[in-house]
Parts: sequence; structure tokens; C-alpha cells
Amino acid sequence: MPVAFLAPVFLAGLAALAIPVLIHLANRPKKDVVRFPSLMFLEKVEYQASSRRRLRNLVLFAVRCLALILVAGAFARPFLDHPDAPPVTIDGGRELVVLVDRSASMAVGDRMDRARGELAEIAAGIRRGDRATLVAFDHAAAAANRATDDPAVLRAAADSLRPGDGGTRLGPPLRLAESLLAGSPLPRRELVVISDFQRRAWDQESAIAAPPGTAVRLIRLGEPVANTAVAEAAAGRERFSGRERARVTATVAARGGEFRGPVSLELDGRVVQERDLTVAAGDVGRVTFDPVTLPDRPVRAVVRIPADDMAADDALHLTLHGDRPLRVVIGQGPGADARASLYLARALEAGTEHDVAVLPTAALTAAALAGADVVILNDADPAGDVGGRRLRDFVEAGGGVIVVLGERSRGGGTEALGLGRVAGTRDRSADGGASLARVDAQHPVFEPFRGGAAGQLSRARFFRYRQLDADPAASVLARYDDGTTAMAARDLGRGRALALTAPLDGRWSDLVLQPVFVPLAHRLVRHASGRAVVPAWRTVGDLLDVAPLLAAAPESDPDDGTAPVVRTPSGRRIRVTPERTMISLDERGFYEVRDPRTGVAPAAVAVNGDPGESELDPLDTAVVEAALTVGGAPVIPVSAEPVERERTQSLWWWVLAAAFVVMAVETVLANALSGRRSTVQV
Amino acid sequence: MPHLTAPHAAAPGFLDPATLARIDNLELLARTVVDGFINGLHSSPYLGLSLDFAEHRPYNPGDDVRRIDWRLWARTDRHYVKEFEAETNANFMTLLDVSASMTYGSRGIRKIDYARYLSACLTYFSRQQRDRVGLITFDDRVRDYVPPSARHLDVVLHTLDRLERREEREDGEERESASASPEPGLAAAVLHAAERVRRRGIVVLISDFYEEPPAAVDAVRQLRYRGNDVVVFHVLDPAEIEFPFEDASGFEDLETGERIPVVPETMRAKYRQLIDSHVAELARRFSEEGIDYSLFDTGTPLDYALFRYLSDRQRKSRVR
Repeated sequence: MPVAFLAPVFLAGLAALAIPVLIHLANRPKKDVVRFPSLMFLEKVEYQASSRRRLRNLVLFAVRCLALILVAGAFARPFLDHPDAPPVTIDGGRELVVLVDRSASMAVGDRMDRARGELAEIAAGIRRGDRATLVAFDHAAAAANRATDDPAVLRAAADSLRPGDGGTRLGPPLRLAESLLAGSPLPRRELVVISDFQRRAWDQESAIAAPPGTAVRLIRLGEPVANTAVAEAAAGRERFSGRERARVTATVAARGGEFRGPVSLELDGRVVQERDLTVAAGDVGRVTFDPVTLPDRPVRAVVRIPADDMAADDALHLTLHGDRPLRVVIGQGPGADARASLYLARALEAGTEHDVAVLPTAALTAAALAGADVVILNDADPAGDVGGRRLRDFVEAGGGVIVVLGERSRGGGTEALGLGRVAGTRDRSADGGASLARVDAQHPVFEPFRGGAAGQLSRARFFRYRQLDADPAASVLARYDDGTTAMAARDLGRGRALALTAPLDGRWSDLVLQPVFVPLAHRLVRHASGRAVVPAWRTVGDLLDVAPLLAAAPESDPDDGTAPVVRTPSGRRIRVTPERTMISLDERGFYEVRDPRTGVAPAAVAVNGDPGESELDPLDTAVVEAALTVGGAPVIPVSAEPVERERTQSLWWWVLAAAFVVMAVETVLANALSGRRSTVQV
Repeated sequence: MPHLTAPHAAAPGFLDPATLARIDNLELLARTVVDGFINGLHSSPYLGLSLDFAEHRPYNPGDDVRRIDWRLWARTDRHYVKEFEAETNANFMTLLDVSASMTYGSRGIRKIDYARYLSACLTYFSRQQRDRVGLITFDDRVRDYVPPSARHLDVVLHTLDRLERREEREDGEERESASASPEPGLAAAVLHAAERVRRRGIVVLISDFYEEPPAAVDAVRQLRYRGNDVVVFHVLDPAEIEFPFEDASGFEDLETGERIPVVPETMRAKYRQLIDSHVAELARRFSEEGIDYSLFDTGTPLDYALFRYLSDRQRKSRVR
């Protein structure tokens, strides 16, 4: 394995080896003879043949030379070149897959320009018979061209590369590359990855197993730079004089350097407030702006700091929505305990401005329903009291109904709403009660309970519950540990209906005593109302379903100018059709959802980049090399950059350590020789 | 034992031998040194130059009152002056080592030249004392013999002067003895020379003493046993004492022609130790034998050497 040097100029220091030799030659006994009166005393001095002395000193000389060689070698920065790996530029018949990072961090400095330069060199090396594919990636990966041996195609694809707004994930492009290489009929394969290799881009699932014979080359671009980002912004709500106000709090993260400057708040494109903030390097700082009164329409807000090397994270976009309190009517059946809805009412009122009224089901007239956003039948039988038809009309008109089954429920309401048929009652008191075993965590009702909070739901114990045979058209949102339905939902017309199989009064379960009860109650009511919680912003890479943002469902004829349109921050227009309501959010800024069929102001959706993209800490490419395998064996990287190879190998440290060891040996040897010479004179 | 340093008289007025060497005439040199030395003394050094007390005689007006024996006056209440051997014409012989090792010099004056000057000065001085002067030069054998006589001052000086020219001639003819003749040793040479000293007197031995101290002292002792008053001047070049050489070179023995490679930097300390020990042993042994011993290097002013000689004489001529 040949050894190469990053700084071979330091090997010139080996010329210093000649110095002791020259000194030795200069000090050799002169031919001149000194005529001395008598050798009487000189002969008494024990004499050691100079040839023997030279032999001993040669050993010391060799040790010193070795130390000097090691020091010079360490400074020359040696690294091992791998002759076994296939050369980068080889003849035709090569399957070449080039992965190019186009994430937001590639806009820092000249990284993208250098990436294009590397691509130009790679394109220049393409020969006839090669199959070259350029894959651009950020949080996702897509091939920019079909496999070709035409360098112009690759160059054109490279020229069109621009840094995007997405985050970085190495997994998707590597898996795409793996499939391209595995499916290649050519015997030679090469994988090139051009990226700034952010640490957050890598996870263990990104590892791939390339086909045997694949040469892997990792090209790192850019050095770590200091970066300050607006990492977070939250809007606290408060009501003042009947108007809703938002108090925006922004979090600024200073990575790599101190931040000292203004933080501004823009509303609808106009700077309304500014605060000075100082954040120490590696720390985060927060600034809270004064409350702003929200109009009846969404407000586009931007929190901004002065631009630095990475401008993509210097502004955070968010939308501020006014939120009208819900009108919730809780209907109790005749004979119900007056406190039967106490827990539910208090939970709904906690922390909100919701208007909650508890009425007997006999008072739920059509007029009463029309004024409500959500009706909750708490252990009541709608068919007998309200009428299933009235309920269904209410839901189809956009209202929300939550049927909470209890001992008085006969199932008429659930059947009228298409949720299912109520069977008997299950008593689980003997075995300690049932728990929620299967929950649809992707449903909006359970969004706050994803991840670590999921366990909180399972703590509730249901000692008795009604058995509901869910309608096939209904969605079962949760089941008990015995598999029976705990919660079902169904969209009817413009509204929604939900069914819970245990009352929320603390008699049949201890759910009302669990910490999750209040947020669960809020989520149930909000989902039933159809008024989804609109996030302040979304992340690049998310999919947006624009249908809920439209006044009506899109129609199939988009050419009459009335089709809803989504306008991207860059100005691109995307028509919304019944087949295409999901929009990929690929740009930072504000997306506008316009529905010409209504006079309603366009809905704004704020989109920001992946917060992790702001962390520019580099990933050690050795980690990637270690995780990649070629034909089951560890990959032999062929890095284009000798600097990168030398940095990962760091042989200089070992060579320098060896030099110190040799110097220690020289010290011991020299001391031993001098001690011997003090008693044995030369 | 502290390392010997080449003794250099620091007193002002002592003459640098290298300067004196410019005086081509040996007699003139000797006179310059001796007369200059004597003129610098507070009193004439005519007194007490010999160990041997001869006799008392009555004080006559005009005698030097310093010669009055006051102890005798205390006992007898009469004035008597002391008379010594010096007043009775003693023999003064110089035994001068002229072996090849004496031809060495590192600072412009060779040991042989220094020894010649010293011998000339002492001979001249002794003649001023009305002693009979003589000379024996030797290397492996006796080279020159000038029997002691009151009329041999010129002969001695001429013989000393002739030594220089003879060495120049022999150097030009490439000495044969250095390589052909066996090394006789200083002791043997001294013994041979001592056989020529038939009458008791003062014998001054000037040599570089490259001989083992026991043998050298034993040879010199023979002179002492014959009733002679022996004074030894050990003459060395400063380079022989300090060994200031730097370059590793081959060293050749001037007498035997033998060569050995020498690395001075590694040998210097040991060499100095050896020569210090040699000198110290010589001094001890000579002292035990009652023989005056002095070490001079060729940088020592001649009049200082003369001063030392007189000091030793005066110390030994203490009136009983």
C-alpha cells in the first residue's frame, strides 16, 4: 500500500541528516602529525580504537537519524493510498452514479460552485459506454437525468443545480444509488457523493450495501462556519377588549459565533417591532415582542435577523390566525345526574374561550343546533330525544357531533350518523379494567400524544364500556386491549361525527382523572368542529392538503379559470384538481391558496426550512465509509481529495508519536554511552 | 591534587624568555639577566650561598657587619665573621638534558633554548660568585663535558651556544638516533653524566624529566650521595602541561618516532591528571632526598628562575 504525502516539502528536512555526517567528516583525524616531546603520558591513557568508537556511535547516529526521519515524515502529512481500489477515471463500461447535495446548506460560501466544478471534472471523465446518472438530493432524492454517456447531459444537469430550501438526508440518495448500481448490467460501478456532509444528515439507516466492485468516492465541500438562525417562533394568545392578540416569542440560536444584533418582527411585509439581542456562541436567546392585535384574517409574520453566511435560516415565517371560540353544547339525557357532564364541561372550558352549555337533550332544537359548532351527546339517546335525522342534517351542514355512549345509550344516534351499531356492555371490573391498546396516532385527534406521550393514553382504565360494531365506512380511531372499538369517527358531508364507547363522567373509567383528559377533550371537540389547528408554519418537504383550505371541493375542470390555485413563494402557480390536492412544500416563504370561486382572501401557509439544516457541524466521512459495504466487505474509499484522506487517516499523529519514542530511546542510549566513556577513555 | 598551572612570575621586572631569546649572544643574555637581577636586589647575593660553613675569623674593620656572627659575640663578647664555602671557590656544574624531547616548543621558545638560557644565567651568576663552572650535556649519552674551572665560563657559554647550531645541523641531516638507537632513559643518562662529576659542588640538573619518578630520583640521588648540592629544574612547555590541542591527530614521539592517534578532547583530562601526578611525585621524592625541585615552563622569566634558585640557596644557607 503506497504512502503518499500531503506536504512533501517537509521531506526536505531529511537533508538535515547530512549535517552530522558532514560534521563527522569534518572532524575526522587530520593527516597532520603533531610532534610531541613524549608519548609517555598519552600512552598511559587507555585508548579505544577509533574504528570501534565509530561503530558504537553509528548506532546512536542511526537512532538519531530515525528520529529525524520520523519528525520530517510527520510534518509531511503522510497518508495511505489504496492501490486496490479501482481508479477513479477508468475506461468505458462504467455505471456511474453521482449524488449531489442541493440542500439549503449548500448555499453557504462557494459550496455549490465547487460542486459544479467537481461535476464538470466527472463529466469530462465520462467515456463512451459509460452510464452516468446525476442524483440531486436534499431531504429527498431524484435522478436529474436518465443514465447517459453524454458528458453534455451531465454538464447541463449540473449547471441547473441550485441550492434549495430543503434539509439534508443521506439515506434516500444512497438507497436510490444502491438500486441504480444493483440494476446495472455493467461490470464496473462507481458511486460519487458530493456534499458538505452535515452531521445531521446521517443516521444508521442510511447505510447501504453496494454491489461488488463498486468504487466509492466521497467529496466533502466547505469547512464549518459560524451560523446564527431563527430557530423557533411561537405565538401566545390572549384576549384584550374582546379582540384576540398574539404575543410572538422568537428563539435565536448562535452556532459557532456570538450573535449581537437586532431581531425584527414583520407583519404582512412591514417591520412593526425590533429588539436587540445578544447570544453567546453556542447558546440560544429569546426575544418576546409586544402583543399585536389580530384581524379577522390570517396575518403573515416574519421574524428576521441580519443575514449571515447561511441566509436561509435568518428568517422564520409564520402565520397568525385569529381563533373564534367554539360553541359547544353538551346534551344530557333525561334522568342524568346534574354532575354527569361536570368533568367534560370543565375540561372544555379550561384554557379556552369556548362557550360551553349543558342542556337537556329535549332542549336541543334545530335552532339550538344551528347556533352550535359541536354537540356532545353525553350518555344520551339521540334517536329518542333529538332525532337521528336532525343530527345527521346538522353534521352534514358542517357541524360536529360527539356521541358518548353510556348506560342510557340505545345506539340510535350512532346508527343515524353511520358510526355503527351499539351492542351490549362489557364489564372489565374483575380484571382491573381495559386500556387503550391500539390508537391511530396519525389521526389529528391524537396528534399531541405522538411519541413519548402515547403512553399516557394507555394509563386510563375502562372498567365498563359499550360494545360498538363500527360501520365499515367509519374509521376506528382507538381500540381496547380486547380489540373492541373504543373510538370511531366518520365524516358526513361537511361535518364530522365521533363516537366514544365509555361516558366521560368518572363512573365507568378513570379517564377524566388522567392528565390526558383535558387535551383529549380539546382535540375531540376541535376535530369534530372541523376547525383544524392550523400550524403556525410547516417545514420544507411536508405535504399540504389544500382541500380543507378551500371553501368547496375542487372541481374537475380546471380550465375555466375558477380552479383553485396554489402560488408558491417563488411565484410558481399550481392548479388544484380533485386528483391533486396534495402539494409538496419545497420552498421557504408563504404559499397562497386562492379559490376564485369565493371572495375569501387567500389562505396563507408559512413554510420554513428544516431547523436541523442550520447545524453545519460536519460529519466525519469515515463514519460513512465504515457504514458502507461493497459486496459485503467494507468499502475502500477513493476520495478525490488527498486532504480528506489524510485527515481521516491522521497518520501524522502516529508517526510523531513514534518519533518521540525513538527520541526517548536515543536519550537512554546516549546517556549509557557517555557513562561508559567516562570510565573508559577513548 | 590541584592541577598544575604553568608558573609565570607576575612580579614586574622579570624578563620574558621569548624576549630574551632575541638576544643572539648568549653571554650577553646571561649578563643581562644576571646583572639586571642582581641590581634589583636589595643586597648582594654573595652571602650564604652554600650549605657548608667554613670557619670564623676575627672581624676586621671594613668587613660587612652583616657577616658578624652575633651568637658567637654573645658567648665570647668578641666579634667574629663567618666564612663559607662560597668564599672558597666551589664547583658549579650544569647537567643539561639535550634529548630530542627538549627540542619541543609551542610558544616561540623551545625547552632546549630555555634550558640553555637558564644554564647560561646560572653559570654566569656562579662565576660572579667566583665559583668554578662546568657543563655536561647529555641525551642518551654524554654529549659535551666541560670540567669545572674558573676559566671555563666562556667554554661553557660557547658549548651552550654550539648546541643550537648542532641541532640545526642534525635536524637538517634527519636525526638517526630518533629511530635507530634504543631509548636509554633519563635515569641512565643522568647516571652516566653523574660519573663525570668528580668533585663535590653544586649540580644543577635541567631536564624535562620524561622518566618514571622512582628511576629519575634514584639517578639524581647518586649525585646527592656523592656530596653534591643538587638542584633540579624541571622544564616543560605550557602545551605539555595544559595539552591544549583540539584536533584529533596523530602524535609522534620526538625521541622514538612512535606515533599514536590521539583525540585530545577525550584525553585531555586524563593527561593532565597524569602529568600532575608525575610532577607531584617528583617533587615529593626529590624533597625527601633533600634535593631542590622547581617546575618551570618556558614562559617563566629567567630572572624569576634565578630568583627561585637564590631563594632556595638562601633558605638552605641558614646560619646555625
